[in-house]
Amino acid sequence: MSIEWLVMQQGERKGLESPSYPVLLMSRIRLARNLAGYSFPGWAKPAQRQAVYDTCKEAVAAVPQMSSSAHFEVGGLNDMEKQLLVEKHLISKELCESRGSSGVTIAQGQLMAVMINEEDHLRIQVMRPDLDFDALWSDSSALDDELEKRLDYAFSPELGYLTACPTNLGTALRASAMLHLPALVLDKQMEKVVRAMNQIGIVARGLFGEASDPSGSVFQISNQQTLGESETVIIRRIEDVIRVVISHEWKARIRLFQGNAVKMFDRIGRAYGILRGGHLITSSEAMNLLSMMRLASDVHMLPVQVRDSVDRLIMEMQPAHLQIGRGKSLAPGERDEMRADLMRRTFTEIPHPDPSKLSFVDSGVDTGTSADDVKPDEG
Amino acid sequence: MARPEQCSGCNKPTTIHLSQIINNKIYKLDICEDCPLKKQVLDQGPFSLSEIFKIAMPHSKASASMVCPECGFTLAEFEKRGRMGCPECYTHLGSSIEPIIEEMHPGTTHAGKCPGLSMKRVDLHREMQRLKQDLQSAVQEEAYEQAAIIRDRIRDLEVGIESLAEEKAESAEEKSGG
Repeated sequence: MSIEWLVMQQGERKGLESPSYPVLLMSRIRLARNLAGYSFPGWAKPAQRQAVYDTCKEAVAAVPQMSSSAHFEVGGLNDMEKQLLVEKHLISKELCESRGSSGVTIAQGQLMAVMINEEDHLRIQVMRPDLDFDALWSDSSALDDELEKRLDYAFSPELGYLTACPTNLGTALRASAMLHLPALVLDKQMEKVVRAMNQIGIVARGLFGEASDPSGSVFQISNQQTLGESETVIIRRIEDVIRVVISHEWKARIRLFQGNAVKMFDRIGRAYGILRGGHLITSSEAMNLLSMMRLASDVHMLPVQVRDSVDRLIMEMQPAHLQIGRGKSLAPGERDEMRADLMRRTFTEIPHPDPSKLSFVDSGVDTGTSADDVKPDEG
Repeated sequence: MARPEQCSGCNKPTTIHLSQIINNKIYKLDICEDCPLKKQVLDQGPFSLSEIFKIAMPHSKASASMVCPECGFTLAEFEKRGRMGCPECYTHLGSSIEPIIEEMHPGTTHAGKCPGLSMKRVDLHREMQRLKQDLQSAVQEEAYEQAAIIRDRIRDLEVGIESLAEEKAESAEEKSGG
């Protein structure tokens, strides 16, 4: 299987039948599993790593969920291809830097993937474009069951699934959602929100995992604790928290538009102007501009389909996607130019943001006011 | 009081000195400006600070040199990496990292999913261990009648363990075939 398989599948991943959602970009469950009798990947000798890799690769290929899938050995990928998989959230940076005998099997549709020899022998991950952790859990658990029929897991009745890092013991489950929270950022509430989440064992990070810059106001929210509670309890809590954060984001949006609508219309209008007319756009500037377009679409100033385009652009404007699309490596300056071209081409087809269409119907929040009340006053 | 001159993380000159009282005990951490520990310390995670204190805390030589007989991993290595060497490390070195686990998680006993067949296998092996011990003590006590009963049960169990292995192979085959 070649990397073209991945590029060609881009459209299918978030195709027409899986539309985008306001505030939410993606939700995901990841399970860590290890084989009994083998050292964890970070400590294993090369021969043992290879043995684990071969065993796991074969087992993963045999499960029905992976009947149509592609396997990539990290050692066989160049830097750009690795980066492409990271941008698609299919592998981690840690896997890219692994010492050989590691890889990933990706199911058709790219919503299910199993990494081999990352921090743990197996990292099972399942993603969805909507917020349904019950479905994610049932899919990931079913995949886990199939793998367990073929592999001997390291498990202890007291500590649960044994993992390389003690932070993952127990269920070894990490449930996360990628949320777009521009109003909470603009309203300077994110710090407060993050602090409140931390108190109940939930963490927020930037778009690409640990310590990355939360540009574009996109945050990854996930549970930190895995031992002592069941999967159901963990996912119920995180889903509740995510719903609360989403509702806070909507309230902040309503407040911002009610407080100073012209300022918000101006931000959105300027972002649109740059995307439609710019010739050099860095990826972090593009993230922030697209963030405004996603917000505009959520509040109906732009057609809802624009949100799908924005999500596609967030992926396609990343360095590796741009370069693989071009078929060659590009200097950062050239990338900025190509990125701006891509934006101009897309936004030429998109109408100007229309303040008269402003609506919070998707908020689920009873605003008590109609959009008319939010429009700029004469005074 | 003199402060250590070397960073707890990487032995460079220290610039940051932190003290924290946890459960009436004072923990001190001295680190340098560009130490990787710094970022973790400043990261406002729910437990990171005390976790780092504990990881950076000097252990007694005896516990730091504890070795996992399965993979040769030591506690000193854990302090460096924050990762264990192999699943068996939890059996052999687990008691030393218990406080860290307690600090990290809401509980210390697994309450979630258990792997079906692996669990059955674990149960059967435990039962086998128990029966073998019983057999030994029965023989020692010269309770031969009872020893014979236990021996039969061990035989049954052996068959059970074998058929479990077959079941596993079959279920895997079935699935890969279908």
